[in-house]
Amino acid sequence: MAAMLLCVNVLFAQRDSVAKAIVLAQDQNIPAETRVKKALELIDNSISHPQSVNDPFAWYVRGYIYKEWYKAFETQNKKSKTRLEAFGFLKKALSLDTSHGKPFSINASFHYSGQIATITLDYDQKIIKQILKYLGSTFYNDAGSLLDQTNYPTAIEYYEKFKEGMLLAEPNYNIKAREIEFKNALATTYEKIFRSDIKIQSQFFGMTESLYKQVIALDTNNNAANYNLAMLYYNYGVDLINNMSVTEDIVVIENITEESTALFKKALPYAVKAEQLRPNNREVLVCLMGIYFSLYEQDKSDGYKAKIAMLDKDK
Amino acid sequence: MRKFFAILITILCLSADYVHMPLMQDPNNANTKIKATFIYNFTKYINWPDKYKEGNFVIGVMGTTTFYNDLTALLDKKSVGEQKFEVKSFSGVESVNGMCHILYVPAGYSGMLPDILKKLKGKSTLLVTEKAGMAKQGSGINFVIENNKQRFELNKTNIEKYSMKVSSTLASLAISVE
Repeated sequence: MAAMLLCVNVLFAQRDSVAKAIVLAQDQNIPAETRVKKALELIDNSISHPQSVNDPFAWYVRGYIYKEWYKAFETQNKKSKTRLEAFGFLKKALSLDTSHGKPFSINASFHYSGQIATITLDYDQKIIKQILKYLGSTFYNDAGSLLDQTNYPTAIEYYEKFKEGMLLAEPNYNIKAREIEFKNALATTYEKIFRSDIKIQSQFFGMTESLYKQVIALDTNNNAANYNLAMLYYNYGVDLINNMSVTEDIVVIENITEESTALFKKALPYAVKAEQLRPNNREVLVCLMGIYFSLYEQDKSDGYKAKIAMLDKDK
Repeated sequence: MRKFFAILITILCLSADYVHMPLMQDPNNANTKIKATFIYNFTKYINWPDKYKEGNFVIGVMGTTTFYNDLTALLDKKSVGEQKFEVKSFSGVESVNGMCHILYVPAGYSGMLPDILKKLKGKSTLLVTEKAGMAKQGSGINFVIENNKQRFELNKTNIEKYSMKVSSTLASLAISVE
């Protein structure tokens, strides 16, 4: 949790309308829709002012208000434009920031509710980073729910926003776990697209393969990537044969069996690794049984068949 | 006037351990398909005597293995020229009768090969086996595994002595056995 303190105190003329916008946005006496909408209009007008264009504070306030709008009205809108804008404004604020992380005060005075309000705003880069982290987290969560065969490009875009936001906020943020999680999930989506039509969507085979390999490069012991990659190769190998017409010419059969055998051989080390990671997992054992069977290593295939039978018996 | 705002940051896990379970393809069907496709091709690259070019094109399978069922399904409505495929199952050597263009002898029935050869003597039946050494013991084509891949040995002498002709294309793709 982070907090920002706004103290009403002193005058600072150039930033009056910017300051007024943030006070308006936080005024609980006005209904949310009205206050955030008015604040948004005010900051949009203020930002074009020559003294605001390169003012990190003005861009921070704009980002903050857009974030407030998103929070109040658009959290269910996974494709919210306001959130993207808020993110962009906060990034701009950080890019203009020369405070080196040292908080400072900004004074302003403006007409408010029939009175002249004088305020001191405490500007702290940490708050911008907190909001970027918040927006980043919403991007990540929406990326997860948008990972389907239609919306995956948006999911990728949002994941990149998440990464950018987190690393801007916390340059040492350990992104690895999220990278693994997202890449595995994206690979699964790509694999579904590939399997929906392995001829038309053939490019998704390589894309899926690449993602699982990236995960394994990040974590050689990632069970999901090892198992899923083995299955990707294995299933494609079997698909090539199953999709072959029985009337196919013998030269074509030779090529297809060559290709499918290569795929079964590629699948094997990943399946073996998956077994090391989860020794008695039934799905992994079934996968190994199938791979060895397809490689015509009947003894090994039978060995896994027996293991599976033992597992089933124990249940 | 003092104002506070709080930001709650919650990152949802996509899954604790993202293992999805893709549907596993059945390897049995694939291996059967390869053999069936080879057998279909043998009919294209081997020439039977004229008297075998009438009626159905008969493929016999020793025993009631699943291969018989699979082959029947795969060759359904297929033909060799004008000859429709007919897949027959033979329970033993004594039941092998009539005109049979190809006789497939699964590994488990390899012990019957000498009796089968006697039974088929003088007939243009292509014997297809699937056990090491069978091509040297009388079979025309013997399925073998080489480098984890389905291949086939071809004994040209064992085929041509029964008045069948082997095309050079088929011979070039086979492991030649004398």
